[in-house]
Amino acid sequence: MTVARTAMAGTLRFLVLSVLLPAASALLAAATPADAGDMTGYINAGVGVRTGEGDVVYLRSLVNGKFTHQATKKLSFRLETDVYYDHPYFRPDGRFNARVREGYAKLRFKNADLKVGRVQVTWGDIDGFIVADQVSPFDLEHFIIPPFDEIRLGVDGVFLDYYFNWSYSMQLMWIARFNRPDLPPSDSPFDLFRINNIDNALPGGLRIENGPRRLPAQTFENSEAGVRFTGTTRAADWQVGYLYSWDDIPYFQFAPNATKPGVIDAFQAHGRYHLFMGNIVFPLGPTLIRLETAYNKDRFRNVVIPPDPSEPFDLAVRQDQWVTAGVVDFKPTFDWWQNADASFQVIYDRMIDPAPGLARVDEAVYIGVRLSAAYRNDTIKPRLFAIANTRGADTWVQAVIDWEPFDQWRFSLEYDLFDGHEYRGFLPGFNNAGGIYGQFDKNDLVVVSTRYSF
Amino acid sequence: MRDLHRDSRKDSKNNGLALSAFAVCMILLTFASAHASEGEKPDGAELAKQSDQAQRSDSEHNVMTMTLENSRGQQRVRTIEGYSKELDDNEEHRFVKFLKPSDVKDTTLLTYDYREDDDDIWLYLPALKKVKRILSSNKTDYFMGSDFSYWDMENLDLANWEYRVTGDETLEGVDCWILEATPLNEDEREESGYDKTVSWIGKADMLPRRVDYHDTKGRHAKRLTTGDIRPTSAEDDPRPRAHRLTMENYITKHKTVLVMDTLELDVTVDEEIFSQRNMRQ
Repeated sequence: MTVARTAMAGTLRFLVLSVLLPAASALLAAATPADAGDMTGYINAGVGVRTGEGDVVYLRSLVNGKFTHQATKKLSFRLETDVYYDHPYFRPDGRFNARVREGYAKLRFKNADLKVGRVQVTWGDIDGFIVADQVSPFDLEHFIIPPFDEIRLGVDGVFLDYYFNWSYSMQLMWIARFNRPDLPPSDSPFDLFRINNIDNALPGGLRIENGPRRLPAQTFENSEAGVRFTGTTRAADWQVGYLYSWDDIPYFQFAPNATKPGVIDAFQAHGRYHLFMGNIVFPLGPTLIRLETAYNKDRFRNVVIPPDPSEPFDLAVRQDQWVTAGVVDFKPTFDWWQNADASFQVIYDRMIDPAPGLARVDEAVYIGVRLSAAYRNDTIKPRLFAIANTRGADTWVQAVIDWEPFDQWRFSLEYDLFDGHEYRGFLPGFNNAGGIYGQFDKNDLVVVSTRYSF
Repeated sequence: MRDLHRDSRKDSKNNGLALSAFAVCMILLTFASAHASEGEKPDGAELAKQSDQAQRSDSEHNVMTMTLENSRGQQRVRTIEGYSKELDDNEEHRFVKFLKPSDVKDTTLLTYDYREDDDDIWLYLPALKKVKRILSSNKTDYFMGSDFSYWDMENLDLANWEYRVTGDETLEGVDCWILEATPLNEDEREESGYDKTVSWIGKADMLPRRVDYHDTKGRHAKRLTTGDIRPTSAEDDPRPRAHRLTMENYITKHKTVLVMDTLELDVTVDEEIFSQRNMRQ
């Protein structure tokens, strides 16, 4: 009865907000004087139901607003915010949230642009898999069910783009503090970073409790910095970059609870690492080739064999990781496939000299495909994305149809299929199958959403 | 449209997204210097070639409204701003920015159009915050949901089509030559998606008044009608251009209307316009 009441209340709130939020936004946009700036955005209401469990795991009403103001020829401002309400049924109550995804002042000089504030930074050129795009954190609360462009968050700092000429540029950045990604709560079916059997390595007879997330202190010493060079030539576009950063992907620290005997606290923590990246995109005959590589140096990762036997709770090591992606874009020519786009991608993920008992796959190859089309004068747009680990038991397929019958409106139907299981290869008797997509095997879901852009 | 714009440039070049606001304007190519004496049929290929020369401009700026209308009369409206600049005989740069509606606002396309090679094309999607190099589209694909295919909107090469003046006719009070074009080879036929195009060219101003498109299945698939022919927005520029283009698709019962709100020829266009930096502004 209580569950039913909660569900009904949540649904009612969802429906009310789906009406109120769009109305408020439309009024705000309409009330903005033309000379005060430019305001755009969208309202999105979506619900996702797991097909196996039959429960609502994604229920979000979101208003996105973007405001830009050109104060002078050289000075402009930009603000992008999300206000949203979540009420998936694995939570006892719905939750309002608001965030500033961008908010900065921009100074434009003859050969440079300087931004100060919160900025979304994109590195690299690979879609659907994070290789070099590690500067801005992501909202991963629902894994990556929403598209990448809607889940990228900003970082706070100073960003200088210097243009040597129209073909070559340099980006210098200083990020004042660690901007953490939004990660799913531990009771979410989308919980990304789990202890995942690492507890088997701890002394027996102990109970593990999740402790608070450990974030770096907001000090100058903990700031981040990076540089990237970009070239755009007739033959190819390329990027080369370096970033000294905090890792958005957490690892676990363990410690005996000071007050509860027999209890071990597990903390999600973030470590410092170095990112070296390179990227090149070039046409080759009727195809476009995208190559991207990232060398992640000194990333903290968990192990199930303590490096120091005298420190049984210290289950983390520094690891170097190399991730490379190769993508081929092309345009199939079939009468029935209108406005066709296709791409195949291969991703190679390797840990360099993996530590004994490393609690993640040490080498993996992923094969991906992305297909899209547009029919009836671009009012019906189907697309398909699939990625699979060649070791097996680690697959994700996402099929989406967008219907845009009127300007500013979009209705979407999405199906996500996950297959496999979590990676357990570090345990005796298990092979190297399984992984990040496979761990969501029970999360096959249907998502329906409506969007109004203003 | 295409047959009216042939310029003997690219052979099998996939120009695709090179379609731009500028390219749309280029469909208004005239045959100004290809007059034939009364009663004498002009040579089709010569007519097209001379008209192309007559219609070229070094640079252009335009703002256009594109209205898409389905068979039930439902409309979708886009506003597009474009710049173009011809650097030399071998290279032209084009910049297109979507101003409306809000879901595509600030999406920009930058095209470096090379005479002998494939175009370089970059797309900036504001939501993604990055400029991406993209592939040219298949020429039979339609541009942004419109009824103009990429082939319709690009420049042609005279070498792969045969032009023939089949007669003359008065169209809405304007005396026109009827110009029929057919592909000379199977590759061009497949690439264009057409078996034949038939154009009605005003004898006095050499501007196209109508173009019929016949697809490879032998169907009369589309008709382009031009209107509001008058001098461009720029002061002291007497050159006439059509400011309204209507493409009706008889297969899908859909039509697209392009209205030039602003059209300026040979304006000063800073090369910075055609930079990735400008795409992100």
